[in-house]
Amino acid sequence: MSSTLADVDVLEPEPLRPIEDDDEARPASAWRTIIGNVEGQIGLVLGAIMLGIILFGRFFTPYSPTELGVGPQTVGPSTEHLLGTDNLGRDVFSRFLTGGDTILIVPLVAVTLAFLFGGSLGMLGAYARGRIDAVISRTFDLLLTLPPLLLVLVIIAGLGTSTIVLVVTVALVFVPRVGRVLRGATQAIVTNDYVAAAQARGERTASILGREVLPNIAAPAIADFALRITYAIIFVATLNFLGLGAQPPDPDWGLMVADSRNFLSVQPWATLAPAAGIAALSISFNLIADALTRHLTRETSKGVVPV
Amino acid sequence: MAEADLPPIAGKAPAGAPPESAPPAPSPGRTIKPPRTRYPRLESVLRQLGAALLTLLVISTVTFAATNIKSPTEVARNALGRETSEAQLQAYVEQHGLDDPFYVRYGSWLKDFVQGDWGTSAVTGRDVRADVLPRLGKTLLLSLIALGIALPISVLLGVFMARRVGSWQDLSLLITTVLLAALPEFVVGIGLLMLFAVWLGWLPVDSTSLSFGTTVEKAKAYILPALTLVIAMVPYIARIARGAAQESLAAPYTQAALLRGLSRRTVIWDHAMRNAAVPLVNAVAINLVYLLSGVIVVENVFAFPGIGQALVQAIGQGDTITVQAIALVMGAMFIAISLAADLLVVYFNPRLKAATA
Repeated sequence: MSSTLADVDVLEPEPLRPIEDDDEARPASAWRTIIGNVEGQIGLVLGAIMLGIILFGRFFTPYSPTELGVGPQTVGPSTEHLLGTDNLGRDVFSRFLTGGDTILIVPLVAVTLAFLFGGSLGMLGAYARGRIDAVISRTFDLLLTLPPLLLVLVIIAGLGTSTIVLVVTVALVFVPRVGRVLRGATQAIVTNDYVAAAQARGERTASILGREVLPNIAAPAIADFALRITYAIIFVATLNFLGLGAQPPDPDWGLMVADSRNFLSVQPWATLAPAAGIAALSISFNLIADALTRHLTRETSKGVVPV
Repeated sequence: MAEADLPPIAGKAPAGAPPESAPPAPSPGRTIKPPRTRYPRLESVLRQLGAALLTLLVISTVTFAATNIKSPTEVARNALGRETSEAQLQAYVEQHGLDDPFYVRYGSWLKDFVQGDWGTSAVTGRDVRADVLPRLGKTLLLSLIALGIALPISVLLGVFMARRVGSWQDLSLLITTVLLAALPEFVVGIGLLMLFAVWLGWLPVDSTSLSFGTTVEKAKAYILPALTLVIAMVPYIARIARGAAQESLAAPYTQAALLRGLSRRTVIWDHAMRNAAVPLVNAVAINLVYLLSGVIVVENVFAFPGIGQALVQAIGQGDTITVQAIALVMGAMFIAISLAADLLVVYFNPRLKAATA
């Protein structure tokens, strides 16, 4: 969603667009906002590095990430093992290079699902109003009262651990939250004339929501997407750490932290490297989300009494 | 799990500016309507109690439903072991009423639970209640310590930032909150463990001494888990506080008070923050449940013998009865704490006071 919008923006002839201070936050400016902001730039660079490690790191592993005893057990960094070995004699560096898959892919899929279902419901509610809106909002409210981690743990207790369970439960947690944000954003623009015009043209609801409403709430939607990804990364990493997400012997950062925690004083690198990986990935998304949000809310010091 | 509909910046709604979110979007029982009766306070307390009970009921239903997806024979086989004859399985199913319709089993489970019979764990063979209750006390204490430290720090930080919106102090604190908010609790915990337990050696590497250590050792076992929770909560609450403080510092009555020549301290704390308390406590109350979920993770990082650790352990062992009990107890604990915060809102809300006269 974001990339196509960004492409449209690039094609737009730059000088023709008057940029004013009060210029409405336009959907197409999301990419430019991230680029034109130190916070966003740092987030983008950090994110690109982490993405590179997660996507291509697997091709540069000096050892097999799952093979036991490729070196001595629980020793610190050396020239053979850049980050040392873990308690089963596996190469930590190789495991680090291959352990980022789950916490990137599961959040992306889960949040996308949450946007598809929760987002559409929220938009529909705000657009349709009346009884439909009431039913949708009450359902969201009900889901929101459930403590997310507790909910997911209980579902995992019932269904067992698998990637599908992980994706669906994390998506379920985010459906009402995304729905509520997009509902609010839709409410703000649904009274505009272009919506009335589309209704007058006799367009179907789906087409109005997709072609009139969606482009106009794209900016808050994109910012919220980045924010939800951050939360989802934290969430999935936490589940992996608790041993309820990725399962051994798959290399996974959260799992690596949990496994090597007891050897922290002997071989800290086996814990610190994956912990740093998780932190960097989630920080990069949070910086991008924050840059976008700040741009949207246009925070200024105007109107504040210097007490 | 510090995850929520937490305002990313300045107490504004997440991402974007849906005006609808400016007063917190309706959430059951948390919106405080203008008084209609002679006893607005009592009414709003009752409404919130009702909402809390309803939430508990939903949590219990979801818990029971999720942990009863397995077929009755599967449950019986889990309890009796793989080498069990069909007849034995059948007998177990009948004895425990596993064949009854869902609502019958749910009803009897809930009734037993409320009456204090939490069942016997099929894995450990022990009484679940006797196992869970001592742990609950520790978890509750840990959560309250963390809240007691995090709330004042957050409010002070929020006011500090709100007074200097746009300054370098404000911006660097904001960036710090962004960075900290992006860290999972277990990463924060591991970092603190590395610093204070491994490098400096001041504190124990885990909290197992709570079960057998001396009083000093027991007290020390709380420090790192509580600190981790504080670090996880402060970034969120401080931002909410900053937003609330910023709004009331900009309000006309604050300017008026300032022009009347009142001291800055009086203006900030007696005028501005008293009014900021309502949105602040409200926002905190809504997010408390999410913030407190972090206790589950933190307990597992530090091997803290609370219910969060027991919950994850029980899930790993497939100990359904224990999972049900802990999920319900934990849900009740979260809701009780956030109900307390809600009642504070009622206490702070002057509109509810005026009507009783």
